[in-house]
Amino acid sequence: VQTEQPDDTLMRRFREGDAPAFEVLLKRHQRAVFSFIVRMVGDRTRAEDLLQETFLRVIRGAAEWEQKAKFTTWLYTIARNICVDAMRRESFRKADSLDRVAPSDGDPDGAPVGDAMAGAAVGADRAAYNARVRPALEQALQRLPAEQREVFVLREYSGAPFKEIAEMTGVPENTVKSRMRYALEGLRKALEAMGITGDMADDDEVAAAAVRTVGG
Amino acid sequence: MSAQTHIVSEERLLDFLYGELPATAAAEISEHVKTCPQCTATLEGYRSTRRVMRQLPPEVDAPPARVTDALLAEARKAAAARAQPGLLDRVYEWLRGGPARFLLTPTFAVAGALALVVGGSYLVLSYAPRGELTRPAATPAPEAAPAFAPAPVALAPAPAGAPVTAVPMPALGSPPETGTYKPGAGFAAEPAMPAAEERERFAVLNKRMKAAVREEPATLDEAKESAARARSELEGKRKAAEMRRLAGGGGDMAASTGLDSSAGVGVGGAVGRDIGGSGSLGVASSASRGSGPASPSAPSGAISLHAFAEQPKPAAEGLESSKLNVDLREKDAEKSVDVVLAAPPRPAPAAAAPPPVPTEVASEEKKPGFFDSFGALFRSPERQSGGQVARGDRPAESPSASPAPPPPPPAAPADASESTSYAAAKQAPSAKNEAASTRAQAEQKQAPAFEPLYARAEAARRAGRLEEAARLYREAYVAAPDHARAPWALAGEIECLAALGRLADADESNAVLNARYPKAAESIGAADRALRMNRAKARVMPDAAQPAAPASIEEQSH
Repeated sequence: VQTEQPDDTLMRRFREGDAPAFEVLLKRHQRAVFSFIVRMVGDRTRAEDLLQETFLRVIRGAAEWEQKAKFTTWLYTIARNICVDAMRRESFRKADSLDRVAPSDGDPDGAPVGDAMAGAAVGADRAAYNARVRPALEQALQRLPAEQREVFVLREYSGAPFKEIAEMTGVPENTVKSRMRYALEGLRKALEAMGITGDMADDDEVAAAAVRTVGG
Repeated sequence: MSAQTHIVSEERLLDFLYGELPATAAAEISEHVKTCPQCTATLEGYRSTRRVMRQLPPEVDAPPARVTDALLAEARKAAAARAQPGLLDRVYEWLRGGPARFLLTPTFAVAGALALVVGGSYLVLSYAPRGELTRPAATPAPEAAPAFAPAPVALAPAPAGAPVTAVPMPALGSPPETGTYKPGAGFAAEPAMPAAEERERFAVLNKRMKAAVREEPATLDEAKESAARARSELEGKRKAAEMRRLAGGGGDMAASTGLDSSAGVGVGGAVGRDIGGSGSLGVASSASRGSGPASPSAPSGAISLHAFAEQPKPAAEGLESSKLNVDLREKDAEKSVDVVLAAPPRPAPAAAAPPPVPTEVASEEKKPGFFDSFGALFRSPERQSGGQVARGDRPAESPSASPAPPPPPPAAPADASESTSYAAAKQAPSAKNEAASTRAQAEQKQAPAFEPLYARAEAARRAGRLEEAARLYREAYVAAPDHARAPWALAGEIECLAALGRLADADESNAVLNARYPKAAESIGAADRALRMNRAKARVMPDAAQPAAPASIEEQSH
């Protein structure tokens, strides 16, 4: 029954001293927030600390929480601010070049991801594809400026509308959309540089490419 | 589509791409995109990128359980704390969410702050003792000014050579030293004389007093000169004492300080006033009075504790301990204020003086302060046991140890507010000290008439015989209106009358006090406090203003 309760109700209950309500909230949102943080800072270990800090702020700020906005907006605002602070404080490890990613994944020839994708063997399955392409996509994402990355991650993966992203980031909605546009452009260029195209990324296209490769 | 007709911005295309447009707007964009190669290319580019990036899962693997566990533990702690919020939390919550939410707006915050300032100023101005705000509290000269010529009234003359006693006086407005004070029932007073007789005697005394008051001071210049002399005298003593204290002899001073600074009075509630702040003045006043004529060589000059922040507390050689311990009950101080005042060990000055009542405060006699301990490190044994009275050097003054009164002072009469710790300063010859000596000798002439009466009044008061105490205070005043503590005698009378509920009589005496000693700020303030408190008591509990029968008092005290 508790899991069906809206976030605001759970938060209100927690504010009144109901610890299980917070547990529900945590289980409901921690993974999504954790994903956002991981993609923001690009470091899972660091993201664990930041996730903890985020929810600690929720715990401590519960007394001041008011139902003026959605709980998720408040939660992601906290997470985003913590990430920004963390990124300012520390110099995070920059993503290695794509040319160095492939060897780390076990490909000794060090071919670009795109080449590897295009030359995927007949028996290449989905898991192999994911194993090769996802790190490249993650790195392409990490190369984006932080303000574009946060907008893209929040919209694309967290599903936050532009209006809410504007609230979270404290900038006008049009600015958010501009950053989203720049993010999409930047990603497209980065993916093209890696030889990854939208056609290849599509499951059907990948399958077709695999068939062509086998038939060729 | 030409540039002129291209009306769809890229931001709008994003809205369309992410499905954030209403259906009609989305349909319009969709139609437009079909005919606009530029928008089509742009939109296709976005879609292509999204297709690729969607290969990343929306969520990564869950964080480790230790993170979750730690957060849950923290949440449980916070929830447990919130489940039992403190009073402040509850008030805050109420202000935040309740009907008074508007109080937290900046406008009301500013208005509230202004109201506090104005209200606070009003309270300070209305409750501060008269003269307190206009003259320094450390200027006791007016009380010592012998510029007035009172009518020669001699009531109950004291025996020659009567011992000068240290007579601590409880705080004005405070009940007798022992027993429980029930605001609703008045003090546990057992009038020594019938009320009618007392009133008659008061009437006579009032007439004499008024006659004395009508004889105004001789000249203004004389009064000013006297005040200046006393002021300079006091300043010299204060500086000398301060120097001694800083030089390591502070222990003497602290030891001779008659009042434990922990004494405090808190009377609020129905009285509508917390004496804790300005109320410390009341305690100070009582301490000053209670310090008694300690030093045999002390000159006159009513050194007041009123400004104990500025000057060392007057010594109380005779005052071994004095503490007013007020237990302020919850919500309403008027309902139950337990007062225990330790009667200081002192020589019995007169037959009427009851033996001191041991109380819990006795064990707190002159707790060593910082300067006591510090100074003791540097004091030689000779100095510690020398001419100055150190703590514990006065067993003879204890009634139990030496019931007989000590011999009268050889040189000068003691003054209530003079500290023995000043003696060292006085030993150094100076013009100021000589002047003080002269004044003290002059006052000595009135002391034999004043001191015994005053001591008896104090004793009667401690014994709860407020009627008798009031009469004796009056007689002491009339016998020696120039005495330094004559204003205090009047104030004591006012306090007793007020405590008895005889507010009209108290007002009358208060008028005399104000007219006769307009600059006796401490005395006037103390009397005012007593009157205010008892008036408030009378307002809240009309019965409380009347003296209760002893039997009922006894019942209530139990």
